[in-house]
Amino acid sequence: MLARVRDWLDERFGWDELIAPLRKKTVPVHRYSHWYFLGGITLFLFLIQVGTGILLLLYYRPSANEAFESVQYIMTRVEFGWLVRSIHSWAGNLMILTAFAHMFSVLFLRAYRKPRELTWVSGMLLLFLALGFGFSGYLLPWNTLAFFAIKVGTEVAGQVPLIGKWLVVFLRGGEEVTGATLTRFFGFHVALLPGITTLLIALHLALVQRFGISVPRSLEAQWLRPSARRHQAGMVFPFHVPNAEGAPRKGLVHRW
Amino acid sequence: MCPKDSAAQVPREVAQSPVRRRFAEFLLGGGLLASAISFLYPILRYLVPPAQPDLGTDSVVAGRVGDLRRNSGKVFRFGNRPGILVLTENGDYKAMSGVCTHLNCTVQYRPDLRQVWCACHNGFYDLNGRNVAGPPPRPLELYEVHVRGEEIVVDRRRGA
Repeated sequence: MLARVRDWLDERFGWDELIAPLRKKTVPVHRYSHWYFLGGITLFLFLIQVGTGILLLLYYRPSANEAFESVQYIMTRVEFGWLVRSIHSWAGNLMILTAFAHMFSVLFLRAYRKPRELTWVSGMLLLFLALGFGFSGYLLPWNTLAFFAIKVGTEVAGQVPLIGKWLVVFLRGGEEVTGATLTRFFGFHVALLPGITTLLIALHLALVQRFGISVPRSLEAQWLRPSARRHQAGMVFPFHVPNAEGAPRKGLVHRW
Repeated sequence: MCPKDSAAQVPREVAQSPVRRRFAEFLLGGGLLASAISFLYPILRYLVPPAQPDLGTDSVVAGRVGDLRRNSGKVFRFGNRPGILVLTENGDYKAMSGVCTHLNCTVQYRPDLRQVWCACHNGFYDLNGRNVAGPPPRPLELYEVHVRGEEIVVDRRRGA
């Protein structure tokens, strides 16, 4: 059945050719470590956020009069509403955590070096967008904590020289944090940020796909010296727990 | 990708015990299926709207102190229905349902008569919500009013 669908697609627009680059990937086995999972975990959590976010949109109402009540409604009346909202909240926090861990692992291993500069830059932009998600989402429950957190948070933006004042008015949709701010942040949170983020993730993944996974410098150097001593050069990160064989292998072509 | 392909590649001798193999597949498939159900079931239940589609609003900010002059009234949103808030000449707040009990028109305050009036069929209610003249068959539901700081909060008794 699946094969027939694939054949059909292949006959029309060369499906196999299209996905050929996706079917072959070099996975470094030199130091098979958890640090390489962080990007994927972040992506997974992002997808969780998209799913639970869409579910929350079914019941959430972004107006000053109804926002708080609708969140209470989700938590108390809607079946499994508490679960969906809690997953959204926790996965959001975890996503920030894994995104930062991912960023630091790339930073310390200098995985950003040529030719992967654009991957790094797009990743940093994604990190800022993730923070934007966190900030805009924080207001949406419209409780006291949310209100004052956003009041203080937007005041920080006011300290930017020259455009600070304008920036605060832009963020708040007025001089003060009001229902206008809520509507605005809701728009950022569910339309503007997801749109930009999705595009950037596509770019980020395409770049990772194109360049493959970075190999740490010290290993690269080892591989270039055939007579090199086969033990670990101690580096900052726990990437360098020796693997079973001790000796680095050059990578494994993984097919599926 | 395709399980048939990979199965075909395994030499016959390797798949020695078809029973054992089938059992392992059953365990694996059953586990995956159970996981999938445990994810999908809450989502499906979530998608079913609760019996009470109303937000069930029991309390709402009807306005701010200073919004109203004495002997005037305003209509506010209470959940998905209107309510009416009146500041009497004595400075008391009164709040009641804004939906006329006759044919569900939205009522308004008549400062000249000091009564709540429905414009549709000339129905009158006093400031305690009692239907005093015209077609309305029942009184308006009366709400409790609290002034909390600058905000005028209107409460509906639960279960009402």
